[in-house]
Amino acid sequence: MNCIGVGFSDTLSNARVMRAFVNGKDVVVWRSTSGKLSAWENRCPHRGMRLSHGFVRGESLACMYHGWHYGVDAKCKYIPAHPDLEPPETIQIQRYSSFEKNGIIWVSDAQDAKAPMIADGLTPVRSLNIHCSANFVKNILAGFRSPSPDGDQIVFHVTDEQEDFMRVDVPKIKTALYFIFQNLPNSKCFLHVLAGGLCEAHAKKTISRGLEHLRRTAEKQFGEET
Amino acid sequence: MNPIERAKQDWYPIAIVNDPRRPKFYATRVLGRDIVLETKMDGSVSVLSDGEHWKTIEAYDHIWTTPSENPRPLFSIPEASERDRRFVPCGVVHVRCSPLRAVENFLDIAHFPFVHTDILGSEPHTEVVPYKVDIDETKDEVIATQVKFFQPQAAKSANEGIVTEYTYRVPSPMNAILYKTCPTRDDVQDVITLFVQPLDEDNCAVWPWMALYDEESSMADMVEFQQLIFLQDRNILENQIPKRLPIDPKMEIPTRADLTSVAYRRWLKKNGALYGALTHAVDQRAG
Amino acid sequence: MEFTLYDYALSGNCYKIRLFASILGVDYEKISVEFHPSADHKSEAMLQVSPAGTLPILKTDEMVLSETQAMLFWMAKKFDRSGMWWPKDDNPVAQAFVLQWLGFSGDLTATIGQARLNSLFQTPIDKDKIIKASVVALRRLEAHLTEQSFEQKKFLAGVSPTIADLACFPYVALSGDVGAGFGLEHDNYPAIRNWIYEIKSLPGFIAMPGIFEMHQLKDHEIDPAERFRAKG
Repeated sequence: MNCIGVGFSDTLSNARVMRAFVNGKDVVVWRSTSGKLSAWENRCPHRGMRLSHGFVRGESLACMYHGWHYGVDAKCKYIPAHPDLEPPETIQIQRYSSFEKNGIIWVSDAQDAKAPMIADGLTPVRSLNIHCSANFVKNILAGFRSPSPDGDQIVFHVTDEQEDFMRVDVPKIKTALYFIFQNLPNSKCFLHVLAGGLCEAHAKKTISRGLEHLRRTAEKQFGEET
Repeated sequence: MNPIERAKQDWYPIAIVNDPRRPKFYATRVLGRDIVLETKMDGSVSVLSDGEHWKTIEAYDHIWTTPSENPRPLFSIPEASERDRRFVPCGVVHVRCSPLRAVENFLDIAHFPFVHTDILGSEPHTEVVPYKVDIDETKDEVIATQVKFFQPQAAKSANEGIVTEYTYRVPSPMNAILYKTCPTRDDVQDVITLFVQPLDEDNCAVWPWMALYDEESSMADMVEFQQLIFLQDRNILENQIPKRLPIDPKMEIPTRADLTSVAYRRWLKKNGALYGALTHAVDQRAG
Repeated sequence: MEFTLYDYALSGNCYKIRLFASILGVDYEKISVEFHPSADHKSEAMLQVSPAGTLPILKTDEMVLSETQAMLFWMAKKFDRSGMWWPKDDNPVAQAFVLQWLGFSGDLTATIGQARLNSLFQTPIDKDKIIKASVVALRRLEAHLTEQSFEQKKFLAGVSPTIADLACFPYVALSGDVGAGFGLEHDNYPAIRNWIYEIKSLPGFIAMPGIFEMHQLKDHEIDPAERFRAKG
């Protein structure tokens, strides 16, 4: 079982919370004030409220409904309605394993899952939400062409492929692009795209716009076929 | 009796009486069935569902209907006949959740500091002190009394924070009534209700209504206050999983502050009033 | 009282003015108008105040305004000396960018705003069309905020917030009100998610129903979760 890339490390600052889907499971991913990363089942066991709407205080994530605080060990630490009650150890959230590598946040529901081997020194460019499946996008990537700002074309050449990952060379911009695929419910997906090496603002913009073209192409074809 | 048969025996709100903005034919849903409310020139109404006529009554400024030929009587609210009160139908709001979740949220106070911040509650005044919950055996209603909470702005008419005392009454599975300290008079209580129309098991519309002793606020201010409170709750209600209310006590973890909701869930189970409930522990993600 | 605001607590457009007034620290008289269920904003009495029949309405001795973009502009010019919320006249390019995204805020009201009213009150709309248009609008915003981040700019028109951010914020922040499964949830848009955090962190920020409060910003002497640590 693979790890799923759910976003870039630098889009989740300290003391912030986000929601992610990992193999169909609704997951809350958050950072404590000191930066510790956690990924849990996105549900408070009190009354079922989604924790991804919660708020971080210190090293705890608190549920937005009744303010129950959970520490980084996923155990309930504080129940505001009963401030003097030490919450029982049994009140805890199901945890997923999470770690950061290559500038990406990886989450897995398996114990020993590993991130794919991709290069070091990458620059995150864009996380793009697409209304079609990851597999569909992968099929379009090979040989994809997009107009470049100077009137020429940028062409994608797939040079490596693993489960949920593709490396694409783009000679026109003299860099490789690394695509991390994340499947979402209802035939949607996220593409998390990084560039090889340093990538300045102008190049990032070209890539970002090329990705939007890719999205339009994929969604149009997907719409026609389904 | 299966949940749908039990649910069919009750009355459900579907409109405000004499609402000039309602179209002649107004389509909605009750218990998974499409219905149409027709308003005739003389103001009288009728409800048709799949060729069948449903009974209608007017009560508490709302039009109620039922699929049953022989429904249970609608609960009574004696305060509704106290004509010196101001009666305020607040308008419908649709929410994608179980009607039972909507009622249970109305009964809960521990969320006030977090959801109705600086209005109905604020940190650090988060403690819920013990209160009493009983079942009124004669009327078969859930009653919670001596519920106390410090509130920065308990009602539109309140100028400063007070400790509000509440009494909750659940007279039927999808309706809840709240009696609360009136900020301007200490001899009477304000009455606030939540009437819930179940469109489906996981989709409902709420019709909040009030019977108040507020002589100063405009109608617009009072309606707005109640709508504001409900819209804050709606954000929670649409994000609870599973959508249907779990009846099995193992699925969610209550504390002493949740006595009313525990009693409510148990009372629903005892009465077979399980439309909108989840009766066995299923994978919650499927809820 | 600097002005009178005809207001409705659940309106995202009215909230733009309430929010800016709070950020600027400006006092105003608020008159509640019952938008729902009785649609009083279209009553004869209200049409005498403003023939537009919409909310909010901002009124002073000199003027009555019915467009929020104009209201935000007037408030910035009158109450903000810093030149941050509306760029100074010696920078027409910066002003143009603010105007561009102020204009875009109208798209958000017409798409997400309409979808939200339908979700709350079942107002009749062409739902498929409005939802598709809402996704297009959010994607446009996401693309722009992403490109801004390539140049270390956190806001729509630059490194600092402007009235364009305040104009676009409400309906974007409220897009969850439309419901799940339409592609309007913030978890689909990481740049928007972070921009929302930035706006909510501004001094003087206030929320409205549908937008969760920033409880994390409240001062606490101790992390309440630490109170049992000593026993452990």
